[in-house]
Amino acid sequence: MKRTLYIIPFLFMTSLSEIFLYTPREQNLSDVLWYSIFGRVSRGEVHTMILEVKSLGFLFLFAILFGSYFSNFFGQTSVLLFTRIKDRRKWGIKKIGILCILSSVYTLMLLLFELAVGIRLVTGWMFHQKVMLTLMAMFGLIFPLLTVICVSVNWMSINHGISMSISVVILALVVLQMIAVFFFDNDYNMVLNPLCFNSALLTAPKLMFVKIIVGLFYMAAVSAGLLLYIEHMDIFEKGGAKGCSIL
Amino acid sequence: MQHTLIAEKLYKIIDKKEVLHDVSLNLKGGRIYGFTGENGSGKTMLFRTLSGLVRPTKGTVFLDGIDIHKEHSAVKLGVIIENSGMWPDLTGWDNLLYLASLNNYISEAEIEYAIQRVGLDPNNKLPVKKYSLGMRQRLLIAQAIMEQPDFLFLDEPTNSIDQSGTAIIRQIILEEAQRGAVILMASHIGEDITQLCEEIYSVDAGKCVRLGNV
Repeated sequence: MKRTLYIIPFLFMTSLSEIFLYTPREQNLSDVLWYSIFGRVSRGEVHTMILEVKSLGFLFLFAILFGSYFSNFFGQTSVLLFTRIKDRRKWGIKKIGILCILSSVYTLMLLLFELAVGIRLVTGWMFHQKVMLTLMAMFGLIFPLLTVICVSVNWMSINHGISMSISVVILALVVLQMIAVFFFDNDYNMVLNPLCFNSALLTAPKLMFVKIIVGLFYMAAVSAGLLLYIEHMDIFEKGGAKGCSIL
Repeated sequence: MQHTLIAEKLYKIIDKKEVLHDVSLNLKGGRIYGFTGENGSGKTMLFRTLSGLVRPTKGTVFLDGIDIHKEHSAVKLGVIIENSGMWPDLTGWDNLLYLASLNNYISEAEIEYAIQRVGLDPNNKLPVKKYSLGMRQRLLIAQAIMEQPDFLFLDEPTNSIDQSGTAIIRQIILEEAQRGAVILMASHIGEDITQLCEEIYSVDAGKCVRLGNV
């Protein structure tokens, strides 16, 4: 849990200019929060917000900090562990639960930090319903994304090591980023791409609900896949399975 | 109730290579079974399959009547397999404490007894990475026996252990058999097999053949 604190110095270093150089001015705190993490792509009346490249840094940091959480159990100690763990599925659910808690704490810390910086940049700010909704929406978007990234890295690192796993996930995020930009005015892209968001969703609760459900679905799918893999994998002492009967 | 291990027509194929071929066993508690064979013959893969770590491509393993690859079994296992190790930065005590916490079968007093039984000091503050090979092997034995397992899988248990330590380990294995555990032991050391085992199996190219009683 203490490792989640590493995000603070990271965010501090990436926000130095906002903290020390910007002059506070009259602007919408809710907008400041969105644009601290999302960039905006527009054509005419269509605006879509896409997770900025610089914001991907905090995602990578989380993957680096917790991407080997599972693979640590599949090294030389795996024999001693898995001859004692009777129910691998239950064990896996517990571990994924811990990863979910870590990603929610990490997301909260990110949002609180951005809120603190945002308050610094705004004159006469007020903590009203729109700011609260913004924070909740951002949490609903970022938390499932963080969890999906972390669980995916953990899954791959069981057999392929942390470096390869993070590289693959980075590549996937870059591809998603490119799709997000090229098809920014496409509704399916806005709903299905986890790096995309339209702030107009804040006034359309049903669509917001769908967007969050899609994120949670991705989270559930990746977690279920990892659980199934762990349940059926062969345990070897060094670095995990040489073959999995489910695949 | 006498513990039983029944393996029926086990096959295991990895990367298109057959590492276990038609292995069937019927083993009973209170006996020590020796497994001999060259390096790469399949002894370790057999132990991995019988202990539930690896799923057979075909065939079933029943421990006390339960198919361990399909159902959750309450049987207790003690396992030492080649290259298995502990967390290197923790002390021996902390390693065993963590392993015991997974099922909470035993108390701290029983962990302490297991460590003392193999000739180690439970109060040793050295991390395992600073242990000698012999000390690490003794600690592995301690973790295998501490929960009074119903089934013991020992792959080269006296590896790297000195003469006095070997005598201690052999005595422990005999005591575990007297307690009623099913004990499977693979060893290249002839004396381990002749002094301890009641039945011997030979493993060669994934096939397991009963050689007879000692």
